[in-house]
Order: sequence, then C-alpha cells, then structure tokens
Amino acid sequence: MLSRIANNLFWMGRYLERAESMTRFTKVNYFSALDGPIAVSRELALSAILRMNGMSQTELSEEDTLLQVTFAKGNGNSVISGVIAARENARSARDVISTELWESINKYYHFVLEYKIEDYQKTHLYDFSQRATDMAMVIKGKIDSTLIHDPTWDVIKAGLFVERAIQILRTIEVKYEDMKMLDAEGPSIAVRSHQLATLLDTLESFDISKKYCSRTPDLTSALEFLVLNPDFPRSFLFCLESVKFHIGRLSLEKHPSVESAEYFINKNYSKVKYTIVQDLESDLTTELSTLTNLMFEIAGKIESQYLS
Amino acid sequence: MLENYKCEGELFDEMLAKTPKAVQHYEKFVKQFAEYNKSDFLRLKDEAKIQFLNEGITFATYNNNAEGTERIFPFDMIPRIIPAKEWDFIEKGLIQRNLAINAFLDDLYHDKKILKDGVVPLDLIQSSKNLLAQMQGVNPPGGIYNHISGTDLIRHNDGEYYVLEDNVRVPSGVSYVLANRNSLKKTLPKLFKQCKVQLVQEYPDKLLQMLQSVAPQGVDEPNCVLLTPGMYNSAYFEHSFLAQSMGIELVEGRDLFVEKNFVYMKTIYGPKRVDVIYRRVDDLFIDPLEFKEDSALGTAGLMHAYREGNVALVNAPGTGVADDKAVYIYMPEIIKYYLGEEAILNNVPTYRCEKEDDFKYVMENVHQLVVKPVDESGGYGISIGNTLTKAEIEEVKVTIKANRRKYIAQPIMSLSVHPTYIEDSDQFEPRHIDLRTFCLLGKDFQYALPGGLTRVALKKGELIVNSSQGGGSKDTWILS
Amino acid sequence: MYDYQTGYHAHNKYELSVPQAVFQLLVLPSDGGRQQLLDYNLKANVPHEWWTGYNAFGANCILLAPKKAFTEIEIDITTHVQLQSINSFERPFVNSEEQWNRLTDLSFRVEHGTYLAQTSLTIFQNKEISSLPPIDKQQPMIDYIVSLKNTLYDQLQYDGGSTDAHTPAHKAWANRKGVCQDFGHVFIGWCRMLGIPARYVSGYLSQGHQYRGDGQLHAWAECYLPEDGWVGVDASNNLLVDHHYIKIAHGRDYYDCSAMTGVLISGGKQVSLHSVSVDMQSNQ
Repeated sequence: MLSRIANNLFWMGRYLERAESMTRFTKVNYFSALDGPIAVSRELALSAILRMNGMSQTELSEEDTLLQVTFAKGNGNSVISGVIAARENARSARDVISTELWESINKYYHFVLEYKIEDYQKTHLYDFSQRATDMAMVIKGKIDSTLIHDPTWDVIKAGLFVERAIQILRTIEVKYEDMKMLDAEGPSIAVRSHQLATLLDTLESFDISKKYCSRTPDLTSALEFLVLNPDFPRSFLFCLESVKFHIGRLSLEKHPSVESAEYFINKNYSKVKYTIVQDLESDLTTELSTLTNLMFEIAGKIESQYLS
Repeated sequence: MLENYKCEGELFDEMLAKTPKAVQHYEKFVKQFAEYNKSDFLRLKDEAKIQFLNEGITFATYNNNAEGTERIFPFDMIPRIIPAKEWDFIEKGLIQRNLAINAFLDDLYHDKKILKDGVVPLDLIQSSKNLLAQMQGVNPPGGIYNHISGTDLIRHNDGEYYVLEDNVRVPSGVSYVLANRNSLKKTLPKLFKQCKVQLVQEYPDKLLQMLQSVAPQGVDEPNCVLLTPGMYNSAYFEHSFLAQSMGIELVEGRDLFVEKNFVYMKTIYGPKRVDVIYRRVDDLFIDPLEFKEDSALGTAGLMHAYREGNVALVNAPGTGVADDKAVYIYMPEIIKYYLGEEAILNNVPTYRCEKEDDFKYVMENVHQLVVKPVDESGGYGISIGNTLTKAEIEEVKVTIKANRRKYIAQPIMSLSVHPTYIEDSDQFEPRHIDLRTFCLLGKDFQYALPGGLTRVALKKGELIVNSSQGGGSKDTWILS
Repeated sequence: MYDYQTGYHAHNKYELSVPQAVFQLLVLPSDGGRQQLLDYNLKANVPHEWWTGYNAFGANCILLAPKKAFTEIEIDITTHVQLQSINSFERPFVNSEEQWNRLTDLSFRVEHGTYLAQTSLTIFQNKEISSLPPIDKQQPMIDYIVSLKNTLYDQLQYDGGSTDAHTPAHKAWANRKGVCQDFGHVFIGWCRMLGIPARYVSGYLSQGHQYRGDGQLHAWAECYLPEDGWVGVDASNNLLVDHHYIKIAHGRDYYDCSAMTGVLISGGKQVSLHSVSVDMQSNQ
C-alpha cells in the first residue's frame, strides 16, 4: 500500500473518531447542565464544551458556542471539519476501501453538511447528535465487516484507536478541571457525583461502569475504569492495546528493532499495563498529559515508519 | 417508440440514412425496442442515472472549495450501431494512422528525415510549443511514443467517415465507454442478446498488456502504476477506475521519487521500484527539474530516469507535436511517407492560416468555416462561421491575424445525427454525434477498442460534442 | 595540454526546515573533444544520495537528494580537467560562398533547428538586423563572426547591476548594458536572426588574467559554421574561445544551463551563495 494512502486512511480513522467524540461531548455536557445541581451552571457546561474543542475564549453565547464546535468550517476541531476531512481522506482512498464503507461515510458527510444549523442551535441538538453518532457507529461497523482485514484495515483501526485514546484523556482532563473549579466553590458530594456521571456518560460508560464496579463510581474507580480497564473499549488501556495489536499485524519484523514503532508501542504498553490507579491519582493532571504525549509520540512513530 | 422518429433536411441520420425506414443494422434493435413503452423507457433511464450516481461515475468541476460539484456525464440510452464491416475498415484506418504518427514522432526526435525531405515544413514543427528538446535523441522503451491514441471521427453527410482530430497526449473518456456498456447491459439485457455486440470489457486487460509490453529492458514482471494529478482533477474518476480495473497502484507525483536514476514509490514497507508509468499528467508537470520548477504534481529527476531507459512513460512526453491541428493537414503525406500506403481514413480539408493563400481564403470565408486553435482540446476556442454575427466574424479575423500559426480553418462538416431522447420535448430527436476511438500501441502489440465513445451534442443543431461543452454520450455497438 | 582544478561551492540557507529536496547541479566540465574530465569529487554537509545523469543536451549533471531535513546546505564539487589547446591555424580551406549558402540548405536548417529557433531570452525584432555589419559572402564566415563579436564588444557596456538572470537580449541591447550572460544572449540572438545556428555555453574561465566573469560561472556562445563546426565566442571579453575556457554545458539559452536547480518542499525564503574557482595545475 502507498504510504500516502495509508496516511489518508490513518487520518480518516482519526477524524471519524474526533468528530464523534466532539459530538458526544457536546450533547452530554449540554444536557447534563439542564438537570444538574445548581452549582453546575450552563456557563460551565458551555465552557467545558469550548475547552474540549481547544478554544480558550469562554465569552461566547450559547448559540455561538454550539455553532463553533459543531458547524464552523473555519474551526479545524469542529464536528463538520472532522467529517469533511474524514470524507476527503476516504475519497482519496476510494479504490482501496469497500463501496459500502465509502457510501456510509458519504452519507454521514451529506447528513452533517445539509443539517439546518438553526434547528441544531435551537431545538434539535439531541436529534442531530443522536443521528450523527448512530451514523458514525454504522461506519465503524462497515470498517469491521466489509473490509478485508489486511493493512488497509489495520491502518484505519490504528488511527481510530490512537485518536480515541487521546480523546479519552482529553475528556477526563476537561472534566477534572470542572471538578476542581467546582470544588473551589465549596466541595459537594452531589456536584462531584454529577460531574463523574457526566464524565462517564460522555465516554458512554455510565451504565456499564456501574455494573462493573457494582456501585456508582467515585473518582478513583472511574479513573481505574476509564484509563486502566483492559476490557472496556472506551478505556485508554484498551485503546493502547488495540493500537499495539494493529501495528503488530502491520509490522513484518519478527523481532521489532529498537527504532521501530512496534517496539516503542510494546514497551510503553507494558508500562501502562502495570500502572496502578494510585499512580495516576497522585498527580492526575501531569499523568494525563504524560499519557497524551505518549500517544502523540506513538502517532509520530507510526507516521514516520509507515505513513511518509 | 422510435416509429415516429423523423429527421429532416440535409443531415445524415445514422438510423435512417436518408430513407424513412431504419437501415439494416438498426432493424433488429428498432424491432426489439418497440416492445418497450414510453413509461418503461423512462423508468429504465432513471434507473441507469441512479446507478451512475451511486457508482460515482461522475466528472467533477471545482472552484475554490474542496467540496466541488460532481456531475454525471449525461448518457443517452439509444445506442449507436456500426456494422462489423464498417468497423473493420475504421479499425484498419486507426491503426494505420497511429502507427504512422508513432513513426513520425520517432523521426522528429531523431533524424528528422521527413523535415529534410520537405514533406512537412520545418517551421511548422519548429514553432510547435509541444516539441520538446528534452526528448531529442531519447529512445523510449519499446520504441513507442503514442501508446494510447484517441482519434476523433465524424461522419459527414456524404456517409463517409473523416478524422476530425488526433489526440495523442493524454486522451480520456474510455471509462465512460465501459460504464455506458455496463449500464446498458443491465437495463436492456434482452436487446443485447439479440444484437450480438462486440465486447469492450477487455479494455483494461489490453491496456495492462500494452503497459507491460513497453517495460524497460530486463524487467520481467514490471510494476506499472497510473499517475494522476489528484482527486481534484476532473477525470479522477477515470484514473481511479482504470487503476482499479487493471489492479495497479494509483499514484500521485508525491508518492514517487527518483534515486540513482530509478523511480520508486513510497509504500508502507519502504520504496518499491516503478517500471512503467501510465501518466495522466501533462508533459509540463511530470518533472519540475526539467519543465515547470514550481509544479507540485511531478517527480524531480523522472526525465533523467527516462532518458536512461529505466522507466517507461505512457504516452511519451512530447507527443503533442503530432496532434497539432496544423500538422493534421499533413497526415495523409505522413502516412504515405512512413508506411508507403494511402491513408485509409479521410482527412477534413483544412486551411493553415499561416500559409498566405490559405490565410487569404480564410479571411474572406470565415462565415462558412470552422476556425480552431491548433493546440487546444476539449472543444475550447472553436468558432463556427455560420453561427456568428458580423461583429463576431470581425473579431475572429482579428484573433487569427494576431497569431496565424495558432489557427486552422475547415469547412463546416455536417456531423451525422442520431436519434436521442430529449427530456424537454419528451421525444426522440436527431442530434449531432462524433466518435472518440481508443487505439493502443505497444511493443509488438496493436489494439483498437471496438467502438469507442459516441459523443452527442444535446443542444439542437450544436456541433460541438465535448463534455466540457455540455455534451452527452451513447453506448457504441459494433455488431459481430 | 593544460591541467585545471575547478571548484564549485554552493551555500543555500532556508528560512524554514526543508524536509525533502532534489538538486540538479550542472557544474561538471564536459568530457570529450578537446576536454577530458579526469576526476571529480563531491562533498555536502548533509547526509545525501547523489548520482549523475545526462540532461536534454547531453551535459553530465549531478543530482543530489538530501536524506534528512535541513535548513542550510553546502555543496562542494571539485574536478580535475585536462584541455588541449586550440590551433586556429589548422582551419581547412573553405569556399566562403559555399559556406554561406549552406545556411539556407533545408537539411542543414533541420539538422540545427534546435539552435536556429529563437527563445524568449534571445529573440530580436527582425529590423535589428540593419544594425549588424553587412555580410560579404566572399569573406569566410569566421571573419564575419569576429566582426560581429567586435561590434557587440564595442557597443555593449559590461555592467553587473543592469540585468538579471531573466533579462531578454533585446532589453540588454536596448540599454547597451549587461553581463556575460547578456553578451551571450545578444550574440546568439543575432546569429539566429542571420540563420547561423548558435547556442549558449556555461563554463569556467581560468583566472589569473583580468577577464570578466571571475569568481562566478562564466557564459559565452558557440556558433556553428558549415565546414568549421562549432566555434566558441566570448564577446564579453572580446575573445574567441581558447584553452582558458572550460566548458560545462550548452543549450538554447541560459535556462538550459543553469548551474543549480532545486526542487524543494518548503514554505520559506531562500538565500544562496555560489562561488567558483579555477586553479591551473601545471602548464604543458
């Protein structure tokens, strides 16, 4: 496979995941502010949405915030930018992906592009988010069920999991900032558990984590679940292991050399695997950024070995 | 449905050919077609359209945004039918003509005998901007220059075929031939069986066979690739379609690099040598070291690798000097010079504005001539005399005077017409057509695609059939 | 026999890091005829691959591809070349009139078509022909070429600041100012106007004499005289080419002989410095 095509597929995976993550974050945080404890203001929710999107200014009105993070083509991190980029990448690789996959991406693209922004801002945020997320799920289903599981598939999946790992860390980071801000106004158990629920919900793990932990999770168990759980598809460790799996399949080396992407991933995977939640909790902000940088380095290694 | 079809005036109708009854080779079709009623037909037509859109058989027009608009190339369901004997004659003529063009190019880039013998004027060749000094003395692998030629044919109202122009740079359109056939086969299967039509589906195999035949010496299993300017090119669909159907890699200039005069493509497992490049990129964009320095489409050092004989370029650079419309005039002499044969296919009589006598004649008769620039394609820059106002005629004269080398003129050929479904009137009406043929030359290899792309001007009376000018297409049936 | 060591030094700096590039260097003395390239050596300050190839006009060029991103690149190419002296007295006897008449011969014009056609850098308006010395067909062509060279030398002032690499000959001539490149282009333009094949030549000029073109690559012209063959003319120094002239390449004009061409992926600006040295090793 051509390196350029592999690069486009890798980024197709990343953009799909990024757009989906942003859609879900906006939806969950927007609605959770509606029925939360009084301290959890709508302003805080909007600010979290903006911060998740990498924007620092928090002066925007609700409508502008929603427009910026979802439909602003000028904002490279908006949902629409992600969808356009994913589709353009898919288009350049049309001859190597299945027609079914292409059509599902194309459909997603047309759905987002043709959605009435005004409806979204005023009344249909839930409808849009739900349908967009469903379409993203369909695309992922097509990735797994209509492609030959060859390097094409591995590259897309690697991109997807790299991005998901980053988005998980980013979500935790933003929500942790929220918790700290709220704590500063006076700690409250209700507020804390509401924020934890929002965090888990954003990562589609509220129900499932309750089942796993047999109770409503506290910060420690939430972190353990979202970062270190080896079996839950929206945990960081699971994503890292998936990246390891796909790059391992891609590699032709029996004994990966020290400079290879595979070696780097395997080594760091082991480190994360034997991390305990207390290590994270001791300085969460630093640990999150260390892990984020690790993912950037992994992406860089994959790019320089396979994609350029 | 075709019973009421009429064609009036001096036009040559492919189906009626001046008699009110369908000519023999159309009879079976017309009889079968009568079994469909209008609503069947419209339903089938819509189905075909949707099929094209779903399969992405489109050409795109881009402005400044990345999204662009994708349009389908309008496709008319009534096929154009050519009897086997007539095609045999055309096929021979095409191969003859393109072999002569190949010999001509080889001569121009080596000994230039034809110029020394004064058969083709030196100044005409010397002033062609498509003559490349970079090709002087170069021996392309397999000795082939115009591997793929798209000769355009028309039928005049005398019933004879004429060559309208030669296209030996990067002719396009063949993917529509295959797509049209696929679509028609699905929508009118019965008709197909009845009429016994020659296959076109083997074209990708033939193309690959040809590419492999011109591999550099000593390469047994050549790695052939198709080089595209990228997905914003209007013919990107064709590029990806052909690459896919040949099972070869679709590459862009940035996927390739040259080292020690060999060409490589960048893959996930490192560099892989490239032996044959079917390039759909114009001459000036293939190697920024030798042509346009600022071209992002090309590969630096490619021409060095080519001159060393380490890679084949299809078509060879510098072929454009042969499809210059002023060189066209000399084609019968060129055929005779190299092959010792009379040209099988007719040339349209053509005036070279650069020549004094011709210029005088053209100036006095713009109103009854077609004036064309010699080096444009896609139907751009053409003026048809009898459609012009007095002021426009004067304008054309001024344009010609300013650059006489750039213009030729021809009598207004009456392109034959063919029944075509017209949406506005909801009827079958006669429309002008031509035929873009596809001819392949390789090392010990010759092939002409049976049929080709029949292009149809959808506007009434319009003589320019190019897709860029709003034309459509038809399937072309060569009976066996 | 004359032995020379030539040196070419290029030093390019870039505003932003250049991840990928290919350079073509047209600086090796040509090998063959009265010149023999005995040896050459290339050094660059970045890891690279390099190879040689022939350009469209048969000149031996070096291609160099850095293997790593860089912001500064220095390339040094030194060569050892041997020249034979030109004996201008060994000219065969030619019938001048026949020589002049050959110019109009079709197969002669076809053979030399590449160097008869004007380019954007050499083209003159035909009326300029009246300012040239009149042709006397009883005179050998070489004499006419010498008078053409003298005319140019007398009227065009050597001036480093008046033109650049893209100045067409007619502009330099209109201002009566130029550098060796412009002398070359004007001379070539004149010859072609008269139907005499002429081409642009780049090369090294041995220093030591107070010649124009020191420290930089030099340029001159060659014109083709029936029976005589290619004759080198350096109008900027008012000389016919001799053993002080080490030829690199020829072409239709400057664009075909540019010493260093780079194709790079980078957004920033470039600053380049080139210098040239020619040392004579030992005299015969």
